[in-house]
Amino acid sequence: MKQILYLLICTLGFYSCSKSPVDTVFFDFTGNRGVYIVNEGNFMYGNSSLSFYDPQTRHVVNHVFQARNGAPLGDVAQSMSIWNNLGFIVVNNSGKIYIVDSSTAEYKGSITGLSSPRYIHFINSHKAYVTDLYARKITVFDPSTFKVTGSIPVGNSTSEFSQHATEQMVQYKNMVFTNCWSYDNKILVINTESDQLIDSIEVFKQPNSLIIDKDNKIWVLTDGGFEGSAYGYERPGLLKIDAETHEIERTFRFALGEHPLSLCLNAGKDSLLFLNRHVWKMAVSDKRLPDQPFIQSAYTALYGGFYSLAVDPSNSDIYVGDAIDHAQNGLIHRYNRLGELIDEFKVGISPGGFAFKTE
Amino acid sequence: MKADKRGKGKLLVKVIFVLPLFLLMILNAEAQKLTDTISIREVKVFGKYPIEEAGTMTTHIDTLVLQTLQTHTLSELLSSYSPVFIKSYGRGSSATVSFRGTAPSHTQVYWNGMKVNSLMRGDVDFSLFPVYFIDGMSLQHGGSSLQSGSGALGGSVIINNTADWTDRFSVRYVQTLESFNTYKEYLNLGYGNDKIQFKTRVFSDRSKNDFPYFNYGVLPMHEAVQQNAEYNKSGLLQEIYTRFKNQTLSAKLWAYQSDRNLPQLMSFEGDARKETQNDQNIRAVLSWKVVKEKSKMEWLSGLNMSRLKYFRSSTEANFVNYDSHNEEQSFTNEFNYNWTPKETISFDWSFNTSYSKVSAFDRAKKEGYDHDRLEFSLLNSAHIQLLPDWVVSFLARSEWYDGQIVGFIPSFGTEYWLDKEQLSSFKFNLSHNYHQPSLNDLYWIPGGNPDLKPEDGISGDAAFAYKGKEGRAKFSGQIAGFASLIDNWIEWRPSVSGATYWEPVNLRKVFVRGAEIQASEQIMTANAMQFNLRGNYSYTATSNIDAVHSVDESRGKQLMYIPKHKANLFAEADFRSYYLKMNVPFTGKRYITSNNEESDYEKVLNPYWMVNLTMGKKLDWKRLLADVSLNVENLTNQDYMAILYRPMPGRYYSLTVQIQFRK
Repeated sequence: MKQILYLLICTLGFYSCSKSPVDTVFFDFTGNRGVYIVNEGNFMYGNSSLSFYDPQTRHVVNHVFQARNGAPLGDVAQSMSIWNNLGFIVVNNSGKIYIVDSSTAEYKGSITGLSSPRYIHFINSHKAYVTDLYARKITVFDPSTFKVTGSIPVGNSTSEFSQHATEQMVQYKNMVFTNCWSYDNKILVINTESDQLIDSIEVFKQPNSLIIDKDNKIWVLTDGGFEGSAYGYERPGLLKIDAETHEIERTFRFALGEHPLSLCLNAGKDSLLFLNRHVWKMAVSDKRLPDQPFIQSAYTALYGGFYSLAVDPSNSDIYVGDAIDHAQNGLIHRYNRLGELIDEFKVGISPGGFAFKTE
Repeated sequence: MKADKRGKGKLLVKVIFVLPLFLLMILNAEAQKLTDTISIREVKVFGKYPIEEAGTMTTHIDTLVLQTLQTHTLSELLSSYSPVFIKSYGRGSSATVSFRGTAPSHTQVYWNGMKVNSLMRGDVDFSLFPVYFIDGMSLQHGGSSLQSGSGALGGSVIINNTADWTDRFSVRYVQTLESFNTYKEYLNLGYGNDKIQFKTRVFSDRSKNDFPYFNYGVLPMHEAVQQNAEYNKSGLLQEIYTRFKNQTLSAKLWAYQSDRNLPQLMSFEGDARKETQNDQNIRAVLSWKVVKEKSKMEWLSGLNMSRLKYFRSSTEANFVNYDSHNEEQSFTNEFNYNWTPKETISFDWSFNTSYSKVSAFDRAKKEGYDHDRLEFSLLNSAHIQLLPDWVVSFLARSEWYDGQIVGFIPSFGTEYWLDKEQLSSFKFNLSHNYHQPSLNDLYWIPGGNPDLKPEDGISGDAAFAYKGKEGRAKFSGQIAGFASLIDNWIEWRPSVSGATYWEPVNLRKVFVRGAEIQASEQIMTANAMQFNLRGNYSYTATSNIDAVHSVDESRGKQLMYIPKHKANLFAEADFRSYYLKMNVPFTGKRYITSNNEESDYEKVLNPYWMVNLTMGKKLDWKRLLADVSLNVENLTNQDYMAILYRPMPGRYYSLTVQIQFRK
């Protein structure tokens, strides 16, 4: 009996604990140049986060969004784009875009009800495009009011696969080019005035990233799919396309089993950088793929090398994300334009996207 | 002399009861601002058990517990009454286990002697087993599981159905009305004589599962109601037993169907999504047993068929992401022979063969694989009572699968009794076990890795068990320490090649160690009152001791989602026909990063404990028995997360009425 009493008393004792809410943390990045790092987190874990790094002071702040706004960022933050002192964060598997003040990280609004949003491209102060992996349409919204204003259908009924899944965007004159990565091999061309699909360019299988260089040539990196894929599996490639004529001017091929990704441009827009376990660099005038990596990763059979890549458009500093095991805080390596290590810092889980704050 | 013994017994019980509480205090001190534990637990302790169980760590789940939780699922039972940790995705959702800190596939489940783990995934969804369909249940901890089969690096869960030869005609009907539009119905029909018995059980459990919660996963935060979490489960269990002289023949058939909607995370604000999982399984076991004075023989033939359909689409965009159809079929044959030439010596031989076929295909992605596996397993074991108070056991398995031979899987156990009545004993077990990669690990597209090696574990445990009686009180307890080293631990991780898919690798070397404490006490008082008290506590540290490269901070850290501390307490008071039951499970802090990051914004899952209370009255009209009870779950309205950003219900209620007729 006594023992029962003891236990009951002890049990009641545990009721007294309570949770204390975490206070809001205020940030002011006004005037600081810097880079936001979008940490994807894991699919269906809801553990994505946002970090801010100041290259001058070499100071990094993690969990910026949650610290300032009290709520988590969501599930798989895919990308962030800064426009007019606003940061638009695409939270892919939460089907939404969170908008924050890019100087304070304060929540300003959201665009919800999306399928699987990926990237944003701003056309003007009342028009922006959001690509989508599943919706088979590009959503048009007003970046000033955060209201959806329309959509551009991009469905392809002739394919046995659900096409087209749209990804990154680049603009030339009044044309936006977007790569269709998932089970696809197209670059779609959209007219920004009529919001109509006007052309498509066939490239190699699974184009995963694209950029436009100083000569208005569009470069497309393709990963070739994967072994066992019903869509097929081929050697990855790199293509150069003329933005005016939509003609493919040059192609490069990687070996089967390689996985190039994250095609970027340097500040002068005359060199390409991309990841293929290591960082590789080539001039837009080069006639062949580089033989030696530009920055070597500690790649081994159990460690996958670098995960993400971005180049500071103002000084060509190179930021490389290392996701380690994708279950702990990732590491960012910052190199100068010559590939010399300047700094390393820890961010959130699976650092995948970068947004440079230039204002 | 006697008095002395009693004194010792008292002291022991106190130690067993006080120790967990002491651990608790340590816990409380270490977890700032976090709520904490309780411990103690059930027991079923040894002494006078068959020699085959000597030297093994086996916990029998009391039939009283099975009775109490008859309208619940096996996942709820394990989570509330055993040291096994259950990782549940929410009310009604799938639930996997971590036994002694290991992965879900490291727990093997045997239903009436037949292994029912999914060959594709390696694990078992414990939310798909209604307790109502279980007559007997035990847990084999660590190396003790080798008695049933290999692969259980954590342990095994043994589920059995048995005949009631005294039944002539009986009907039992149970109905539960529960919050969130939940309706459960159970019916049991039995008839027969002492030569043949028929038993039929059916059940239905359906819920809209629309519980309210506070959504702190979105901006602005708001009160919300859980959406798309409906489930509908139903099943049939048919048993036929016949006996004749020293032979028993039995046939059992299990048919089960579960249809579930899968809810999204709290942070989801996208367009309408449909995500569903449908599970169907049919299991049948035919067993023929011959029991002679010095030997027992059993032949068992089983069939296990299951189908899992997973579907996800964006309804507005009419885009189907996944339409995955997975089918598994396996056929098992087993022959067991036990020979006990003397009361002090027992030998077991068992030969098992099974053939399994799986087919996985995603209609949306048009990808999948078909594969089969043929396995043979041979068991030789001996239990020898060397002295009246000392038993040793040796066991060795040899297995062959997919053309590979695993020649020697040994286990050694011993038990030493401190007294003639076999009330208290020391036990020790050392074993070498291995676990085959699942077929998804090997062949999944994309990422499957046919070069995976089996996971290899060496484990040992030592325990002290006690049971005793003092006046009107009966008590028992067990305290055990264990350690295992598992090499080639398989983990899915993003492809090292830079590809966008994940792939399994023999990545880690994992060191698991911990302790389990179980205690129970039963007190009868003179005025028709009875108290039952059970508790258990487990401490499990599971860490990766083989970090991948220099910046990897996961080395030596607790594996994600596996709590170090888990405990539960069960108390029951009976007075005449009234009863009051309280069940208090506790789950410790769980990390959600491999490097155990913890700060204001680096989330960890806070420890939580639940208080579930049941009060009821039994009514007896001779042949007709009835029982009415009211149950309150999460009495303190605890706000907790079992998985990050998946809502859990607050306080809720159920009313259960049971009517039983027995001729």
